Amino acid sequence: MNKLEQLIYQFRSELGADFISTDVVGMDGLSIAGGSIDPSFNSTDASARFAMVMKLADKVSEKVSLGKVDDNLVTTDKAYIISRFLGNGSYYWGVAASRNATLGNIRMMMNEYADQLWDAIPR
Amino acid sequence: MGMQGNLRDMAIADLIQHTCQDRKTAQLRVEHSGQQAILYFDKGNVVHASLGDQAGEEVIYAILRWEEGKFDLEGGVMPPERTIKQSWSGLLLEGARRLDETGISFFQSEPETYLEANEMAQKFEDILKELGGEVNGYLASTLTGMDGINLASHTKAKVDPEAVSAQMAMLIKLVHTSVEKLGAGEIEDNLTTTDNAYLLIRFLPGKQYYLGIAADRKNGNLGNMRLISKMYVDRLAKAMPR
Amino acid sequence: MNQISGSNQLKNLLAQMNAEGGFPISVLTDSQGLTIAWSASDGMDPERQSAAVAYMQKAALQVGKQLGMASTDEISFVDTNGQHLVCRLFDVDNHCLILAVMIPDRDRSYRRATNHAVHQIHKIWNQFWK
Repeated sequence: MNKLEQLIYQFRSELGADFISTDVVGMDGLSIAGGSIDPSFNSTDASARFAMVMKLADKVSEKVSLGKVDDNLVTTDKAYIISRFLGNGSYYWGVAASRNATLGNIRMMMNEYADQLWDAIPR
Repeated sequence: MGMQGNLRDMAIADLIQHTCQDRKTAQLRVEHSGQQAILYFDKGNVVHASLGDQAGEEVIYAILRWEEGKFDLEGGVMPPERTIKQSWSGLLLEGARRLDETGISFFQSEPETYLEANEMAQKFEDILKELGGEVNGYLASTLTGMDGINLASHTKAKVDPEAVSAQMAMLIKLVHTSVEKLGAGEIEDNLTTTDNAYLLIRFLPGKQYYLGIAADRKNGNLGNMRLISKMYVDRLAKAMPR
Repeated sequence: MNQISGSNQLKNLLAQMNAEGGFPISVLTDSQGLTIAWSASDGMDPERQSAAVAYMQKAALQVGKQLGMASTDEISFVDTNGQHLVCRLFDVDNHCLILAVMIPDRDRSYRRATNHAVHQIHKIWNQFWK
């Protein structure tokens, strides 16, 4: 298990039963690490789609002069889907968690893991 | 920038919307059955229109009915005068109301008079103003249709509400489609955190409109924004015409 | 912000409570760990506190269920320096809220201050948002 996968595993364990899926994704939409434990949640598809969301969110934010995007959080009746840029923005980290999860806590945890994940990405 | 084409391929309402959303200064010539209308845009606003001896808003309402004809959009042409003060979204709103076929779906039931349309926009703006008092670090808010047309907005900062509305509509549409395709449930809200701000988008019931709120990151709180947005979405929905 | 808005009233309430009690930070949080209102001295992180207390609240709910206890009223988190984080859990208008106050030392009284704050939060909510 490489460093990136170790960190993802650690994060998954911290999230516990609320975890659905997590991926570290290039802005081409391709995941380089992670996966889903829920067979009904297609993490490959999610990675690609949310790469587009993050690109658009960044473009929108720039056009309305509100700065660079840190994260994007979608709340649905079934899940939280949180996407966070890593490092220089060439990757993003996506997490899907059940609605039972504590959203603020996931955000905090992602903030803490983000730099470590960025450092662990092979470049 | 220049573009020519036929109204069969691109409706006048769409030409107006795109030119304004891109914040262009331009001249649009439209020909139909031997008539020629000329519209002028200045930094994303429609400021003048002429058709024969007529000038002003009524020209817009008249030409929105044209389905056939040619258009020529030329960038960088300054308006010779200003005869229109209404916002472009207001013009299209009133134009849609006057058309027999609503190319732009807006009200659930159409108001009887132009005055009623204005009163409704004012009611929404009053609600948004009140919302602004409740959101910590408030910058701006907008009530927008999923076509990107702004029904009402309120801003405390140097934010262009129509540009924000259009951009946010694109984002929430993409998020909504993504969530739907993933089978991840019914979207409730989308919250974007940037260096400087929080941007929240929440659908009104029925998902034909959304409420967008921007707050300064330093003074804003996510919990406060979500809570207030939930409360005010209900109020805005109740204020919609039946 | 509008001086008479509900949000401003909440913020003022927490600021007043902190000033009177000598508390460095207090937050009003939703059950998702997102801050609704806060008042804090420099260097304190209300977002982090909100996230942490919601997490604690969830754990407390589980513990209470397992032990067959009635709904939780207060959770205290005490460190070896005597600093403690007190969380009051309550419902307003079907919203589950947490008032979390950092008490800098063990001997400082807080119960009356937090009781008053919870009562005032109910009042503000009913006045502005019900």
